[in-house]
Amino acid sequence: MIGVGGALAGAIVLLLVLLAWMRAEASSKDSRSDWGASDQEQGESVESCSPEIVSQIFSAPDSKFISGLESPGLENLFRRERTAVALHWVQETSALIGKIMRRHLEASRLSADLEIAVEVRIFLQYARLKLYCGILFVLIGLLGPQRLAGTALYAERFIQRIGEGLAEFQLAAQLQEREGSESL
Amino acid sequence: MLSLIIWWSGIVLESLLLARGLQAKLWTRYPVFYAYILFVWLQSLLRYSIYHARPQYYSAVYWITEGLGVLVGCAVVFEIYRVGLSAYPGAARMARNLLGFVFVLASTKALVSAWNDPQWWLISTTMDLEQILRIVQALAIAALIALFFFYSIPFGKNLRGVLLGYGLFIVESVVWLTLVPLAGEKFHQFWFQLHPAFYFATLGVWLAHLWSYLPNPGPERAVRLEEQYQRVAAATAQRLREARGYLAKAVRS
Repeated sequence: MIGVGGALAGAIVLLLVLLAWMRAEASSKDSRSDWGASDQEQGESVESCSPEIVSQIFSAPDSKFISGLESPGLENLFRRERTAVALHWVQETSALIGKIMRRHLEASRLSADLEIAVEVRIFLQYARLKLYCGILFVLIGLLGPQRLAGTALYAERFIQRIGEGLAEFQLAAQLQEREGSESL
Repeated sequence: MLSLIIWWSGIVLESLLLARGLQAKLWTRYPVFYAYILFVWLQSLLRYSIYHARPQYYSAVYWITEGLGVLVGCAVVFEIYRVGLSAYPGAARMARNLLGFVFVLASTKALVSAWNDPQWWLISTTMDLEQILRIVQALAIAALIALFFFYSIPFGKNLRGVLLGYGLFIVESVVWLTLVPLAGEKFHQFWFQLHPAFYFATLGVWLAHLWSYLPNPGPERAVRLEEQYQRVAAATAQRLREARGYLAKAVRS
C-alpha cells in the first residue's frame, strides 16, 4: 500500500524530529531563562535602523567620493569598513526578524482564534526574510555593499512594515488581556 | 529460554509501570496512556498463555490484539495532544484539525484498500493496515513535536516521557513492519534480537519519566494574569482596610 521508501522516510522523519527535540530540550535546560528573557525583551521596542542610515551604509556616492581621492589605501580601508558595517546590519536585521517572529509566536500560542492559513503565511514571510538576509550576507561579501542599496532598502521597509503590524498586534493583545483581567 | 526471560521481563516492567501509575495517581492525568499500558500488559499475558496452552490459536490472537493495540495507540497520540495543548486553545485547534485530517485520510485509504481486496483478513493485509496506521501515527507525532517546538510550548517530564517512549516505539514498529516482509531469514533473526531491546528501551524511558507526577509548566501569560489579579486583589484589600480605618476615625470623632 505504502512503498518501502515512503514508510522508511516516515520513520526517519520521526526519528530526526525526536533527536532534534531532545537536543533542543537539553540545550534549553541549561538556559531555561528563555521565558525570563522574553519578559525582559517585552519592554524593548522592535525597531530597525532608519531608511536614511541604511541608504547611507549602502550608498554609492560615498564610495565614488573616496575613489575620487585616488588613495588606494584609504579606498581599501573604506571598502573594508563599509562591508563590515553592512554585514553587521544584515546580522542585526536577521536577529530582529527572529525576535519579531518569537514575539508573534509567544503572543499567538495563547490566542483562541489561531488560523492555520494566517500562521503559514506569516511563517513563509519570516522564512522569505531570513532567506533574503542570507542571500544579502553572501552578496555583500562577494560584491560589496554599494551595489545592493536597493535590495537593502527593500528589506528595511519590509521589516519596518512588519514591526508596525506587530506593535498593533501587541496593543490589541494587551487590550484583550486587560479586558480579561477586568472581567475577573 | 532466552525468549522466555525476555517475555517475562517485559511483563514485569509493564507491571512496574502500571503499579507506579496507580501509586503516584498518574493514571488520572494520563488515563488513555495507562489504559494502553494495561491493554499491552493483558495482551502479553494472553499471548503467553495461548502460546503455551493453545498454540494453534496464537496467530489469530496475535493479529487481533495487534490490531486493537494500534487503535488504542491512536488514542494515546490524541491524549498527548490533549494534555500538552490544554492551555493553548489556538494551537490545540490547529493540531486537532491537522490530526483529524491525517487520521481521516489514512482511515479512508485503508478502508478503500480493504474494500478492493477480497482477502483483506489475511495476515499480509493486516500487516499493511498496521503499517499505514503506524506511519500515520509517526507523522502525527512528528507534526505535534514540530508544533510544540515552533510555539515554544513547555513540556513536563511526564508528557515528555510518554511522547519520547511512544515515538521510539513507533519508529521501531514502522521499520519492522516495512522490512520484515522483504528481508530474509538472517534479518528476521537479527531483528528478533533487536526488537526486545527497543521495547525495553521504550519501557525504560516510560519508567524513568513516569516514576512520579510532575505537572506541565503552564503558559507564562496566564501566570502573569493570575499575578496581576492577585496584585489587584491585594491592593483593593489594602484600600478597603484604609477606608475602614478612616471611617472608624470619622465615627469616633
